[in-house]
Amino acid sequence: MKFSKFVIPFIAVGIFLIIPLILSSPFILQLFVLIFLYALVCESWDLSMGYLGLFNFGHLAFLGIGAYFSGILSLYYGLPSWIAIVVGSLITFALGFVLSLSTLRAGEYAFSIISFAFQNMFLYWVRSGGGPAPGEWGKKGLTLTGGTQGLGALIPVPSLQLGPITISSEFKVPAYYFTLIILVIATYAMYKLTNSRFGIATIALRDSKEYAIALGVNPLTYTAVFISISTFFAGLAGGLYAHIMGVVSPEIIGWSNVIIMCCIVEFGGLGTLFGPAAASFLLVSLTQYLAGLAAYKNIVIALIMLFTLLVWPTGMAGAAFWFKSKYLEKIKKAIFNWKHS
Amino acid sequence: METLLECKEVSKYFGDFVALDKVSFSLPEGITFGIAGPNGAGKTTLFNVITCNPYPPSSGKVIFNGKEIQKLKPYEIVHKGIVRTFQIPVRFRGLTFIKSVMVGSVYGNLANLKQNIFNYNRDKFEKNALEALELVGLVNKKDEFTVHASLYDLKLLMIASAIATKPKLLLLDEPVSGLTDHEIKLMWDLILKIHKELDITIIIIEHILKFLMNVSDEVMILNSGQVICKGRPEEVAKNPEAIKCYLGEESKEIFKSEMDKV
Amino acid sequence: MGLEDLAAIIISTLVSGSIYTLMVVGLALIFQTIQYFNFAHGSFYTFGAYFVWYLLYILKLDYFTSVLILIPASFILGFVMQRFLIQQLVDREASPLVLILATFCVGSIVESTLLLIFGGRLKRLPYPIEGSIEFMGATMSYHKLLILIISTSLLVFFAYILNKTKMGTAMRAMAQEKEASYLAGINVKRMYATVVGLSAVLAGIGGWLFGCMIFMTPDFGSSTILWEGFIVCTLGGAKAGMKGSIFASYLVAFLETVLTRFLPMYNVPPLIFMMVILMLLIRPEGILVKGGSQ
Repeated sequence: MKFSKFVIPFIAVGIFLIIPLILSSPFILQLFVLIFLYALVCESWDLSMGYLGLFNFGHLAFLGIGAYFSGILSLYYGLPSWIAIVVGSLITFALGFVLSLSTLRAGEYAFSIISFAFQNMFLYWVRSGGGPAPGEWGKKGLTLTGGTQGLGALIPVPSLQLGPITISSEFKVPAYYFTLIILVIATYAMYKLTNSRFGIATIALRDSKEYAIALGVNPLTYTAVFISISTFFAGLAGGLYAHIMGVVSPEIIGWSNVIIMCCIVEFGGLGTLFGPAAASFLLVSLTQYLAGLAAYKNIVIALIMLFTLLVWPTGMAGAAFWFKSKYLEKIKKAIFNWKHS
Repeated sequence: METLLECKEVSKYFGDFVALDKVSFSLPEGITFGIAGPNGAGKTTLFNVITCNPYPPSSGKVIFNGKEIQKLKPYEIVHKGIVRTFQIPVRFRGLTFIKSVMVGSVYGNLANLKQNIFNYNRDKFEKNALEALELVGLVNKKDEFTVHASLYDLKLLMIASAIATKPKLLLLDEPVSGLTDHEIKLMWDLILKIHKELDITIIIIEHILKFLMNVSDEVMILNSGQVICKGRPEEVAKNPEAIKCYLGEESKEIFKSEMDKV
Repeated sequence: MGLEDLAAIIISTLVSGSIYTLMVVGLALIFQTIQYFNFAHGSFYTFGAYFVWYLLYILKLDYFTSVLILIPASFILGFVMQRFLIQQLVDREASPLVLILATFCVGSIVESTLLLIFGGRLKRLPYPIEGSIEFMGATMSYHKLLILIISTSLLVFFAYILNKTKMGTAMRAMAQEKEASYLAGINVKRMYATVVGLSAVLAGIGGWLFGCMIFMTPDFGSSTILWEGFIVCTLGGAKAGMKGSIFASYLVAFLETVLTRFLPMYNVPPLIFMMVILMLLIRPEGILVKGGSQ
């Protein structure tokens, strides 16, 4: 019986595995890489928002830290790409832990504000260039973060080298499979986390913090675990993005993307990991399709979001559950009858 | 009998407002202790400061099993063996009945919590949770989500979750408020069963005096944050000060004669 | 540091502070009564500037009329948003996340529409009054003086409304005790919408005044809000309300002026954000709120 829960995700992964064999358009493969990374970011934000109930405004700043730090480490300091990515992710993990400590002192409201301030600070720092680049490059006039042009605009961030395989935007197919594998592993990890005793505690904390504490839950432990893991994956996605795409510009961590992320998670269904994953597939494709028309893109996303919030708050996942509970039995019976008629 | 819990001059202020004024009492192990008093007397506040959830006392000492607990964190107090229920039922909307109880069985018991960090024994916690559900009679609903639960079920669920933490002291805040007469009788039986089978000391806050007087070994009346009187139910029922704080000066005589008939 | 430096600091503090106040008082009012953070507020700001531009240059009305029409237009914008969109969510007791996202979407739609209608090229509104005066050795344009006068009068006007009129008392009641207000017969939905409408008027006027001083882009409102507005609201504290946000506006303006003047090498906004973070950790209730429940 447990298997049936995963039918759709398994089918989806199966489809994803064979897509590159059917479609060879590099543009589409690159789009999928973007979708997979976005799915990772959104799922990890769902950990903090959907399961814990904490609004982390700074999630994309963590993405940015992962991207910029691993990019800087490998571009300017020559660190092998995969080490840089790991280091970047560990930094975001630690920072996430520090951030979660703020709830100790000042509660959820302060958490949101501090993460908001953090996002703004990071954006500002990145846009301003962060000072001269180290060593030779600084003398040539390059800034540490590349300012509004972005890191890697003039000299690309080195691609990810795994033994003989190069993963970068030049070689679409390896990049596709690599990010897909990472997404599947990360999703599995997050799924195990949310279904463990950690998950029960976190949902309890979200639904009624006072009652959870009254039953012995130590809120800081679970807040720290969930937030740190959430930011870890954000940093990982950032590091991957930097090395696969070769360029990191401040736009990807700007406020409009924060809203897109929130929209994806809300549309997919808060607190269900697979909802945001599915929704990122739909909405990232949509935004790419509308990419040239910035104003229309914003309006469409905003309208979708308003519709979700006002009319169908449980999102796609909620719709799926509703559909299943209402119609699945009927469909099964109909098929059964048809077979035996 | 050992003294399980002792409150020494426990006070609580909200700015200028005095919610609790030097409340003192001592609670022997193994009895059922009733607390009554008019609305706003400070009864729930007393539970709040004993468990430090959501706030500790402004002054005074709370001594449990010989150790002072008023400075501990609320979840630490749960681990020491004190657990409470709430006047207005709270629920975890995203969890099923059994998972709600498991919150208590996993996190409420320090021995359990420490033991399982390296070998997570989910079956054991489920078993503890099932036992608690069985005791209150909710096993048949274990996989239902709490979102749609009725008032009575929620109250039972709160008690089950509390028992699952394997406490030494159980604080019940108005367990029968809002229930029908039939449900009150069932709750009465349940509390007696808990008291007998599980060897837990119980403090009950209740407004329905007949219930409280019948269930408790000792009773304390609070009014405006102060202890009006304490003692065995029969004595308290005849205490003029107690009667006065419920019904006012004139009703003293009428009430006294009614209580004599009971 | 000479007298003209001091004068320049004073002027800058007062003017920036007044602009922030116009921006923030509305936000604080909404936060106190309806308890959400209106992310569409920035777009009301932008709307104010562009609407005046439209009236001035497309409909070719005179300046005074344009500003006069701005007031009911902004009010309607805010009123409609609250009454027909956000109210549904409030009725459902939606979480703050939902309200924030919804208002952000409304703001996004407003600003994207402005972008579509007016294009992204920088625009600038002319000063309503040209010229400047001398003040203690520093020059201050008449426009800045106008800002001071308008914001002060608006604040006084609002203080009057809140404290002396029936409507204002109702607003204050709702801020403190929502359910009792229902019982007292206050039409809460209409009140909420009025609050948002008034706040939109303040924002619209602020946007107009600010639009004269900078080059307008269709998103300048929300950027300003997202940076300074948020800081001020946080420092002012959720509970301190009107007075707290006014005080915080001038405090932030003062800090910004002084820091920019004496530490030009450092990036000022991140410093201010750092201070916000520190303050939240040290004193979560905000600067002016005294004491806690203990």
